[in-house]
Amino acid sequence: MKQSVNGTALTRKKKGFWKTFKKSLPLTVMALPGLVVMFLFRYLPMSGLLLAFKRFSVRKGIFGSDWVGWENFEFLFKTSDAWTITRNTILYNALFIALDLVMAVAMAIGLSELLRKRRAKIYQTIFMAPYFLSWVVVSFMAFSLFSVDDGLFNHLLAYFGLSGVDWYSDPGKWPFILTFFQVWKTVGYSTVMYLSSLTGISNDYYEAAIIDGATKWQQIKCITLPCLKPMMIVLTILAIGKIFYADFGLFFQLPRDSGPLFQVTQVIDTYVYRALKETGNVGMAAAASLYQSIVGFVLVVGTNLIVRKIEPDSALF
Amino acid sequence: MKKAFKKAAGIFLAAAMTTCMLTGCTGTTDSPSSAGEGTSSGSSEEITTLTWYMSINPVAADTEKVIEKLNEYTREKIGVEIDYKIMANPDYKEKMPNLINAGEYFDICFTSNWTTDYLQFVGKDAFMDITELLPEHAKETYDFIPEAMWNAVKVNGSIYGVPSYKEMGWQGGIVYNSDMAEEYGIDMSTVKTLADYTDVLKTVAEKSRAAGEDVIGVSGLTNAWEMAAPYESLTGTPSLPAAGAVPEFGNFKDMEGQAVFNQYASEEYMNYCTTVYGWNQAGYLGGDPVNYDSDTANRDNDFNNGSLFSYFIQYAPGTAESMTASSGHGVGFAALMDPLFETRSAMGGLLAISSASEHPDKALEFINLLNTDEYVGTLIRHGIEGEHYTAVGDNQVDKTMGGTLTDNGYDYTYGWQFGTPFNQKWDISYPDNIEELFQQYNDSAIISPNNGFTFDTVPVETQVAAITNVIAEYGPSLETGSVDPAEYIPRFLDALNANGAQDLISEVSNQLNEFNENK
Repeated sequence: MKQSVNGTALTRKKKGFWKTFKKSLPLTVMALPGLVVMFLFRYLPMSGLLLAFKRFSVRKGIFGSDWVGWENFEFLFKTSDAWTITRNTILYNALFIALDLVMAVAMAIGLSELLRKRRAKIYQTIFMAPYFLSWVVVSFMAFSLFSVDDGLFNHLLAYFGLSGVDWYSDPGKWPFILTFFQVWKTVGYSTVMYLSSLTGISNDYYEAAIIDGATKWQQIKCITLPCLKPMMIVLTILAIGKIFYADFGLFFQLPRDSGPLFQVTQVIDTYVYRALKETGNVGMAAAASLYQSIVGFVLVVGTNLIVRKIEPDSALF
Repeated sequence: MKKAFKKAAGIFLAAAMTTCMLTGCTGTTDSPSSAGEGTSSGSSEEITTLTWYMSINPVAADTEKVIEKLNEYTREKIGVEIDYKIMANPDYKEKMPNLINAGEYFDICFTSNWTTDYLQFVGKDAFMDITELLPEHAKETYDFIPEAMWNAVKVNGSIYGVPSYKEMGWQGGIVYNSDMAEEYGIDMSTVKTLADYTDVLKTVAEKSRAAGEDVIGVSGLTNAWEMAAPYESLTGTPSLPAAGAVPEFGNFKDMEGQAVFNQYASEEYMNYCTTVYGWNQAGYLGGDPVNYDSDTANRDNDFNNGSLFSYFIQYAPGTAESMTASSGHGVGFAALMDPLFETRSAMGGLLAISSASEHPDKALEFINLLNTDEYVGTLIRHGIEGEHYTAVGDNQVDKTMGGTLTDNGYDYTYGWQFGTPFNQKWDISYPDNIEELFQQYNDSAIISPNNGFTFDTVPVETQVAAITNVIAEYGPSLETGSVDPAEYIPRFLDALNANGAQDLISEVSNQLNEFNENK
């Protein structure tokens, strides 16, 4: 990456703009469809962000509607639940990022150490499978475990002579249930990402280490982990950018919209959904989403800045 | 680079301007009668195509055939052809608001308070003011639908949609398995209030357990609170804490003197929640009422096979009879209240005309046919005679054509969504005096004191957003008896107050005062 940037900078000095242009024409043409699509679907719709500051009228259109200033943002902060939803969103996501990183790296290393590659493939597929399930499906699977009348857990408890638990109105248990299902569902996917970068590590390092008498643990600590570090940093920075977006399916479908659980399941996305499904206010929806994007943007840039201070080579940009 | 940027900027500006122009275009039809199509009488040679977006469940297989038949008739009669865009209810609910927001062209669309919200889109200028066009182009319909309904759909004195005229208002009560009631020796005629029902549930539980079965006493509690203590919902959303008392019901004594009050703070709410909490504790509700209620297919199944004794419903005349036919056992109905007609009752279904429509006059003529023409009404509801039904007498149809009810290609349960059931023939599962039953029902309906008042949520949208969340948190679990009201109602009220319930109530009463002054 860096070399090519330097290369073009040099040639520009020597040969001028047109020469460079000619030389990079094939590359430019190759990039063009992507750029056009990106412009059409990522940048053009940004004009819709205006809606966050307007009271939308169908007849007047996006540009003609009346301005209302910051009014559309108020509902996010004026509620007594503002603290709860912010706390839940950020803490859950922070926990998910940390767990996902640790578990996925551990599993990737474990899988790569398996000698029989066929078996590793099978495990990998099994871990990956939940990723493709929709949260709605998962919510019914969970319901079959937690249902008061017919749930597996309550039947088990009854079998051992214990009284059943009212799972869907006991907030204390849900931070664990949510975390379990989130990790169960996503960790397989991240594992594959790390596995793919593991295969890129040259065998020479390990051979050299074995000759020097390094133990398995030393090999992992001194070769595998350092080589995985760039991948870990990239995935983490990207995840942090999404820290203010909660997974709607997880927090809405899994607890089955159960009121008594709101203290531990209400996150910004579910709050906005519940608040606006009655009134359908486009402006307020746009405001909420703009707010999330800006926080996400600031966090990505901030994290990247910190990474660049500590380890310039691993920074994303 | 610079050039490329300039070019990009140019494209962007052009795109932005076209969007402006497009939205400008859709906004020009302020004065609808200016569409220079000529008057309705002289245009029989010229065929107008109307785009009609309709929501109905499920989309029947033979829809195209029926619409072809319909077009044949309307082409002749009023010079109109229908471009019919039909979606199943769940699809419509998701797609139609987006289509309208995106400025898609249509002439007629289905709207209500449960899908593609009427008031919301009136507020967004999506629908045309038809107050003056109505008597001109749809006079029969205008005269046929009672004035109370027209008043109810008015927003700031103007009508933006033609309501479906069926039963006036809503009546809450309990449908029950009358065979089982007889078997257990229960006299349902003594049930007048929710408290009366406790003894019935006790009998059901005791006798069914003695017989070795575990019959669930009652379900459907998510709708039961407003039936147990009916009030006028001044915001149009009954769950929002802004209620008005209806004198005829004689309830909410502790709120006397307040035109608008928080129904959750009333004694009635505490009593209701305590009663149903007691039911749940006693095991009459089957353990998990919230989740049980959400699965209506399962509920119907249980009701039909006798493992559920009763459930709460909003009742329409003839329902018990048609349920008797479909459930395989006797079904009775115990009313908890007289029918109540309030502003939102007229919002069950309306046909609105787009503010951008080029043919509002033709659209109204077509809506007029849907509401008054026997042939059109029966065709759009039951399909083609001889193919989808056989006529029985003058007023009834038999849809069992080949012996099965559901497999005849065109069959709608909720035919009133097309307009009104009064110009549609009735299925034979309904009693043959059904129209009289409707008349009786409508005559007994209480018109709420503030009928016609529609609340403009815009000034308190922030509070409504927060309050909606609070209600979602506490309401369902309290109202299904899942949690102890002594502990949770005070917390519920604190949360409501912390999120501006008082602002909402005072805004409602301000607007209500204004409405009453201008009346």
